[in-house]
Amino acid sequence: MNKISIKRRILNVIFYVLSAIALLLLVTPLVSIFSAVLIEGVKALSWDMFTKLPQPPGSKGGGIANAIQGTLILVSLSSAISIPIGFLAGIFMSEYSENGLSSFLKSITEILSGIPSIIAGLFVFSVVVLPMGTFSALAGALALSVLSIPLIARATESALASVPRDIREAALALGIPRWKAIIWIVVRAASGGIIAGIMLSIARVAGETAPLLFTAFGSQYFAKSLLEPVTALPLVIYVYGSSPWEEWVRLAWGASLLLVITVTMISVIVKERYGK
Amino acid sequence: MSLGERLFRALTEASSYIILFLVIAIGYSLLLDSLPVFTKFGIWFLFSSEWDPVRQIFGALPAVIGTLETSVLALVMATPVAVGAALFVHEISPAPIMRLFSPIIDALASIPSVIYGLWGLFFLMPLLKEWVMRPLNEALGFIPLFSGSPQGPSILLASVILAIMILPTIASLTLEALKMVPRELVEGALALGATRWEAVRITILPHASESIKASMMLALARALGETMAVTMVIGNTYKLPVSLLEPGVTITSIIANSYTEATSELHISALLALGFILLLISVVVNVISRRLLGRVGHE
Amino acid sequence: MKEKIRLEHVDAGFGEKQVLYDINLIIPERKVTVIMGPSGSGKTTLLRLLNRMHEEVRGAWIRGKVFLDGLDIYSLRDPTPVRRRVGMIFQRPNPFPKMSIYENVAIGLKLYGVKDEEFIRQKVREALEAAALWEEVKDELDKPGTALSGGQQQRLCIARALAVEPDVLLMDEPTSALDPISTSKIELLIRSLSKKYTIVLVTHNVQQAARVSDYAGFIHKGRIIEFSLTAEMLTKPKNELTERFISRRALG
Ligand SMILES: Nc1ncnc2c1ncn2[C@@H]1O[C@H](COP(=O)(O)OP(=O)(O)OP(=O)(O)O)[C@@H](O)[C@H]1O
Ligand SMILES: [Mg+2]
Repeated sequence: MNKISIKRRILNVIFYVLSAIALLLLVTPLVSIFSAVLIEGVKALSWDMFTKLPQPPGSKGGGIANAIQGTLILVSLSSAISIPIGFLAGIFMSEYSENGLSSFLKSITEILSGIPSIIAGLFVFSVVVLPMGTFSALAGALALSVLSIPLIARATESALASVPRDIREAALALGIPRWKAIIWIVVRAASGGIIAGIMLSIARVAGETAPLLFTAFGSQYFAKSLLEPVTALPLVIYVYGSSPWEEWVRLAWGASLLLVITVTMISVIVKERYGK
Repeated sequence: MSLGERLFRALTEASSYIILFLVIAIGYSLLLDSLPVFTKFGIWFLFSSEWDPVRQIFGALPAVIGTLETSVLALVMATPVAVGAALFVHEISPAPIMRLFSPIIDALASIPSVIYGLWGLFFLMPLLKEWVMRPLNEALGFIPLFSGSPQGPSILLASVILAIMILPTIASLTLEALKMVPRELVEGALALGATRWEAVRITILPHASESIKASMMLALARALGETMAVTMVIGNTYKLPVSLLEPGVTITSIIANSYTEATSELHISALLALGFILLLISVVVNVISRRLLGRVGHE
Repeated sequence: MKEKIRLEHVDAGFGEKQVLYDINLIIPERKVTVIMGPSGSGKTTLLRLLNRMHEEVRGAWIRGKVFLDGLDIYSLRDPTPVRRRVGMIFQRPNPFPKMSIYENVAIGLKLYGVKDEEFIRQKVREALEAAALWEEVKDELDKPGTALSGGQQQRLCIARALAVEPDVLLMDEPTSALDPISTSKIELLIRSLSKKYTIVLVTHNVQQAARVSDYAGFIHKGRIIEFSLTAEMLTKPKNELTERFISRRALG
């Protein structure tokens, strides 16, 4: 192939080199972030981290037990709110609504899932926190639900849509009422995709910070009621991470490690089991 | 219809209307809450650049400009990297790397944004300051864009973090688009004696360009609404941006930063009004990107 | 011959489009009745009228009367009782995904509200035996239904339909997706089931009709052209259209 001129060959080499550099630029931050979280996080690990409350700025020791508790509360509460709603909404869009209505609802779902997460926080601040006069775990969970409802609805809808029509017909032809056929046969056929969608949405909201600022707010103590402010791992990372105290920054890295492990574990499980 | 049937159907229907209700309620409540600030300052809220909670004066311009500037800058930096990486993986690299690519993309996309912020603060900032910001400032400091004295927190740093965060969005959609280009086209071009680059330029890029544009819009929407990472590294100085190397502010960062101190009604209203502006911008960008995506056959 | 199903002046279609015209037909009890006809002639549509699955398609409509044991099935508001009495087997085997062989057969009874596990187990076994599948699967009832071979899956679908004790079975080209060996197993099964069930079979395979059916109807462009004993229709068809269809198919 000596017909290829020098210039064309050089251009080709430049393409190879630049695109390889691009890949490198894409991978480097990932490697750097994961190793930073791993190294700094492991340094922060201690028994106290899991069992103690944070200490006042400047003093040594302390932990983020309250943030772990808070994240568990927020994620469970928002799951309890958003899983049923998102799941049922997905069923309506896929199984009951006429084509026009269904695509309208689907695009509304897209819009809701596209709003910035801090907006969800502002909204709940305005309609829940201000009227109630207090930041609370409930408000935080509601804000997270605003984010996860459309995710779960969309995942449910598309998992159901991929169940062949034949399966529904076979169920109905057995004389099974439609709602029972949907719940026990169609949903079951789509269960992999639905569960994967739900787990991924949990992983996503577990790492959300912005919607919690104006709702859950944060706290130095364990939560005793859903109507009190609580803290959460991502809040700890934000507040402690941007604080000038070394001990707090250390805890922020510890919290990051916990969060990254949780999120990564969920997505690995989802991948392994449901191939998503 | 049996009772069970009616009940179940009604439940699912009500649930999906909750989604519609949320969309309307979010828009409506933010609009309502913005009214005090709009009645007080009128349209000038959008064009004034002063933000003084003590004197109760609020203007949105620096935040709006900062949001647009960081997001667009991020897009400019991320697109070539993401597209280049996707091209390398799809056209050049051996298959094993290609299989590794989507887990990498997924991992990048699944890192919580607050962790990007933490990493940006402690790892990227010193690097960028030493190796990019200082040299830029020394060499090109006479240009306003690179003037000032770089301390670290800056518009540039925020944009770089944002760029990293939107890489997966662009890369994954681009890769999908590349996979949809008929293989015969590329092989045909190669058989005619085109170099790999020429084959890419002539056959692949034209085919994928619509998808790439759509993915850029989607990425832009993500960048506009991104809060934590930006808030942690931008420095939060409420002024119109001049130099990339100095601290700035975005809509999300001023909101996030004020969450402990906003108590007066007007201050809260100003923050919610900023939220409303952000909502409008991001819904518009999102809808456009969905349109584009729909046109190229995703979903 | 005793009548099981009777259609009187039935028109049916989808939206603007009429597919069936003035169908008058009597399906005899405990016999295999085959419906033959060219592609698009309305065989599937006709079949789906008999268990009220037709109305599951948006825009579908029907005029006229369909009697099952003398009862006009379209006078009922709820189609499910009709569907319980009239089982259906589809063109492609469609066992329920994510369910074991056992669950596939048991699900109908369970969702009717039957609680007695022992009774269900008994019915599952009987259905699998009747579908000539029991011997092959009795040791692996927990395996997913979708893990079976195509022919076994189709017999599983037959067992699933039998378990809820219908008296009519509708089969829409049940062997068109199967290999010859599986096909002949199903054909044998159809013969043996006809002792107990009224079977309506759609096929456009003339040889199959000859092998398994007692009666045959020929449908062309939405009209029943001819209905008689299968042997009669295949040997001396009365209508020219029927004759052409049969000779063309018989040749290959
Ligand atoms: N859901 C539907 N909507 C609109 N028209 C339909 C629908 N189903 C079938 N038809 C039309 O009705 C006519 C009869 O279809 P039907 O499926 O009953 O034919 P068939 O005899 O079963 O054909 P085949 O041998 O191909 O299965 C065809 O013209 C078809 O296009
Ligand atoms: Mg048919």
